[in-house]
Amino acid sequence: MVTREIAPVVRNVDVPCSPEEAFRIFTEQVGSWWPAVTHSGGGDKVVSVTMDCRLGGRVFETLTDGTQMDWAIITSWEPPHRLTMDWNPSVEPRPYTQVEVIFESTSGGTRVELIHTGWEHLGADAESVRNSYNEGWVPVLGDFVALVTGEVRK
Amino acid sequence: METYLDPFDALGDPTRRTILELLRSGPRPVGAIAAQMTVSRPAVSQHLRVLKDAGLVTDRAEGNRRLYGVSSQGLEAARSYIESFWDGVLAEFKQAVVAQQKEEDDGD
Repeated sequence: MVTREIAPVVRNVDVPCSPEEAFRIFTEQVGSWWPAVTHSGGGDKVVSVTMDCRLGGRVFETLTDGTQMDWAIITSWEPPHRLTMDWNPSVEPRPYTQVEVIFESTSGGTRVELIHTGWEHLGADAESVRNSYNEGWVPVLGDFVALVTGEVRK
Repeated sequence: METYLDPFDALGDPTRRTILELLRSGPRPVGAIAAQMTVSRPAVSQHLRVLKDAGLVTDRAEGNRRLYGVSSQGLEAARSYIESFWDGVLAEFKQAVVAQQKEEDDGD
């Protein structure tokens, strides 16, 4: 088998508001919409998800006991067009992957495109990124793992 | 692809992750893998079997050797896992935007 480039994960969503509004909700208000129960380390122990809205700012979750778990560092901050993050929601030291979020004005509002790259930085962990999430976000992400593997339907 | 083990379990072990790192640059026989590791060759074989059972490693015969390589199907599985993660996140984000827009409309 030949080593191959690992394709980025690209997802997008159209929202009925301006890029300014979309950017603001995505960042400043991340705690109001992020599905922390299923998409976090602490699951139902997460009391907040926070983004320090500046270059170099942290993205982190805070648990009921006050513990903060880092998810990412903001590496580009270009409101209302774009932000990038070095992403590693793991308790283990591990190379970062890169998450880029682009806000583009459309006739109906804003298209938000999310591009997750840098899998190759994980080495073979690219394969095992499932594990990085499993380890990092569970003890950290158990709920989510269960959800996507179909064991839990909420 | 027959899978006997959960890849999560298979990858919980740092030695197995190291083996996958080594295989990333191309398929290798057991001996070549063991030569670069501190664990014994039988231990490497054992780890390879677990990785294979989890669908993360494939093997094939080449001459009198058996070559182990990373499974591209395992990679695709990882990719769709991450896709489903972001789909969930973005769906929630959209709902938040729509809810806020509705509030603003109602306030007008």
